[in-house]
Amino acid sequence: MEYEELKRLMSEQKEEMTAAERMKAYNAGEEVDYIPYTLQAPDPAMADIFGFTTTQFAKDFEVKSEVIRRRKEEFGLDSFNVGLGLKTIGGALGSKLRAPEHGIDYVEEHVLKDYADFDRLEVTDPYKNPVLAPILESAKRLKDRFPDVSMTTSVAGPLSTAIAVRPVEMVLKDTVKNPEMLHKLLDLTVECSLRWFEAFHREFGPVGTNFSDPVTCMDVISKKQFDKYSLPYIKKLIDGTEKIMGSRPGAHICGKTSQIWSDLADAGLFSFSIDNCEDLAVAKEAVGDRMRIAGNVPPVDVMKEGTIDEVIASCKECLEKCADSPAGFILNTGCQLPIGTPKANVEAFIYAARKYGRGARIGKMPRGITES
Amino acid sequence: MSSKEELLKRLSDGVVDMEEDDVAEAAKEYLEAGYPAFDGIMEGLVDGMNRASQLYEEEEYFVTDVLLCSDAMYVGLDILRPYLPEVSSDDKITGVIGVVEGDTHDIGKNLVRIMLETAGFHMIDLGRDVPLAKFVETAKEENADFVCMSTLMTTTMGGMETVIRLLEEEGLRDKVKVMIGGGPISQKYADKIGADGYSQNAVEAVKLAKRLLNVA
Repeated sequence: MEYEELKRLMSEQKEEMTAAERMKAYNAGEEVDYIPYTLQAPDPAMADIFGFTTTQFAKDFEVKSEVIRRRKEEFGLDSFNVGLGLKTIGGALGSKLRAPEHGIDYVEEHVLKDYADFDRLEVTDPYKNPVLAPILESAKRLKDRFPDVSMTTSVAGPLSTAIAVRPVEMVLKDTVKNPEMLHKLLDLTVECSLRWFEAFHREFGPVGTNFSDPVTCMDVISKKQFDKYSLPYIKKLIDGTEKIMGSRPGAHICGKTSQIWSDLADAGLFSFSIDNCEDLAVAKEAVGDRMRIAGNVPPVDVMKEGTIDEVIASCKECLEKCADSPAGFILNTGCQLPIGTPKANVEAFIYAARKYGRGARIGKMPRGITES
Repeated sequence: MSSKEELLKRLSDGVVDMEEDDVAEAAKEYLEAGYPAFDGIMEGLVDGMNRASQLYEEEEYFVTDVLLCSDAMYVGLDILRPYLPEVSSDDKITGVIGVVEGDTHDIGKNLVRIMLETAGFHMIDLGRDVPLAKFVETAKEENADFVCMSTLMTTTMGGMETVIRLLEEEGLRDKVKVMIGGGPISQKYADKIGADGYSQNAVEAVKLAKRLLNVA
């Protein structure tokens, strides 16, 4: 369909609940206006849609505020995340990061190329660390400005944090050649992450939490490596988070993960955002009764490069496959929403969530599917 | 003293078993016995690396294993290569490889380079975060037959299309095949930007290069 038609159809849709109300009712087993939906880590793409660079978004408080405001007004995305990126703790521990004006930051130089330097690394203090303290400060200012909007926070998973401290090929080889030091490094990453959640809890009380762990997929590591070097630390992170916040975190892992779904459910993960390379129907069958599933519209081929109709069709397919998953479903993208995603495709996503996700209830197909 | 076949097998097995010391020892014995370095590389080390990639394809081996195998292979290469007869690199098919500007994830690119080298291609590795014009300049200077680009990030994938346009502007596009890969890349994307091919992993990349360049 053309953009004008999409806008016309959208203007006929009415939103009855805020995202927070919807989630609360959905969790309580009540019928909600629409299936809960979200877009994975959308800030860089949102900043781009509203005409800002990622650097402006990261550094300019007014830009950040405007993006949060417009995201709520135009897309109904009324929660925001102030969290640590994949490289942030690496940077806080001393890795040199580089942030392009408009793009995702990356590690220019890792701090831990030689384990002889390990003892120099200290658990990062979110109040004092020059990388972390400004993020916490910005969370406070945003909360002051948007007291009614719900705020969440996030960290990177243990193994993903480790590769921001030490180069990935070294970390992978450590699993064979230096397991003892790798265990120490992983312990440190979990401690740093939990310290962040503690500070957040001290400032804002209990909030929703998430972690992203792109390295923990079967494209990069084996199941054996996962069992030994990832799962125990994920478990520590989940248990620690629950102790601090009173609720268990959700997670996103990119890539192939079917082999570890059951472990993640056993470890107590609350929700799992699944990559578009995996099949939602299979995930529902395997672990849908134990873990909430989120996913998985293809971010590049559909959200960034696809047409309005392709976005709508993909959302519908996700709902048909998984919206009745017993522990709940959230319509999401399969990975981070790419910079350069057209505004029309974000709107098409929301249109489809409202149309086909209408009258959703946990464990049941939404009326939007059954009555259409 | 071990026979040539025995030593070749030790070289190959050393690579597959990721045993750097075994490979080094076998390579030295192999040279001392006076066997040609070229065979040691191709029928020993490269054979081992081919077996490792086969195991990777069968999901017996994982990225870590392939990295350790290639470390072992390089230990052997460093010992045997100085004894190779001078071969002009003109005889080899030349490829330029790199991770596009803005992205520093190079583990996949390194695997692809290693696999292409072991398959006999002469590879010029530009590293990571490579300025787009550098791909084109190098392809021109080195008279390259193909260019391989990778990226893990959606923010930088657009650079691949720019390189293809730059090759067109330089009048090189007909002479240079373009292969792309990386996390967010798909066949659909390759078609869209007019790349000659896409491959999902390092083993596929070798097959693709051979197909595009008509190598048996």
